[in-house]
Amino acid sequence: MGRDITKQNESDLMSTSAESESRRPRIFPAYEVWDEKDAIHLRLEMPGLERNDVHIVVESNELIIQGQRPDWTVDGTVLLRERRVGDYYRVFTLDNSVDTDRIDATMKNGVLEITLGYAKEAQPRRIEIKTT
Amino acid sequence: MRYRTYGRDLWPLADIERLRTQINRLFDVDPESEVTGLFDRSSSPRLDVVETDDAIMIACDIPGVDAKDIELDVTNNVLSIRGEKRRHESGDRDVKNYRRETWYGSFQRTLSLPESIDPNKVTAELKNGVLSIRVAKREEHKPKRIGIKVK
Repeated sequence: MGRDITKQNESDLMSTSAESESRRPRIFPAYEVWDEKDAIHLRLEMPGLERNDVHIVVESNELIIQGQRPDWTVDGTVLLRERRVGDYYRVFTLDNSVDTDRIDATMKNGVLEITLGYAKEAQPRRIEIKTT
Repeated sequence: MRYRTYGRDLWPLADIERLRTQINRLFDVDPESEVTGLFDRSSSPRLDVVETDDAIMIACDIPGVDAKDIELDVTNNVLSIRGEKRRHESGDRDVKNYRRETWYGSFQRTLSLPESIDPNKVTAELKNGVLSIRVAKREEHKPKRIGIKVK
């Protein structure tokens, strides 16, 4: 069930990505990653994006983050243009230690924060040694 | 132009260019990223400035900054944007950082504005990590449309 939803999103994403790739440059959002409270935390800076503009897809062992950045369109004379134009895109490879059912994401002030819970098996397990 | 006869692939620096591209790809580094190199840290947010008929419009990318941490002022026609990008709070000392491309700390940007602006008419809005500023022009500097009568 969960898998089907993922597949659905993925096909939507693929069509938009193929479309945007031909016209719009990619912006690789700056990120940081840290380990805290039995989870991996990923924080990506994607200014200009609403929560609904961000697409997160997990496909086999890849976490794909994509977002279409709206253009800033003001009619007038451009005096300075330093901000990037394009769409955000970044891919992370996940290993088996991440439980793909325990991925949460929040968006605030143009910063996307993703929490990736560790799979049960990945947590250290103490093995008792039996005496015979 | 000097190397024109070599063609694109035989251009002597093409190998270096290709190597650079491959290294960037290896580290997944965007050649035009906010953080310009593996070791550089930027603390001047990027700006877009557009002049319209009645105002100067400014957009500034400052993801992760709260509105209360931004100071904005116009002095002698110089707009200054100052602020503090605070590190997310974490009570846990046992945090392992694996990689960080983002920067934290104070930032500042100043921008000279034309004489035509009205420093008392500045409005600003922060939305999704983008600060939008509108500096209105003084009435006498706004273009006046002159109607032409048809006789």
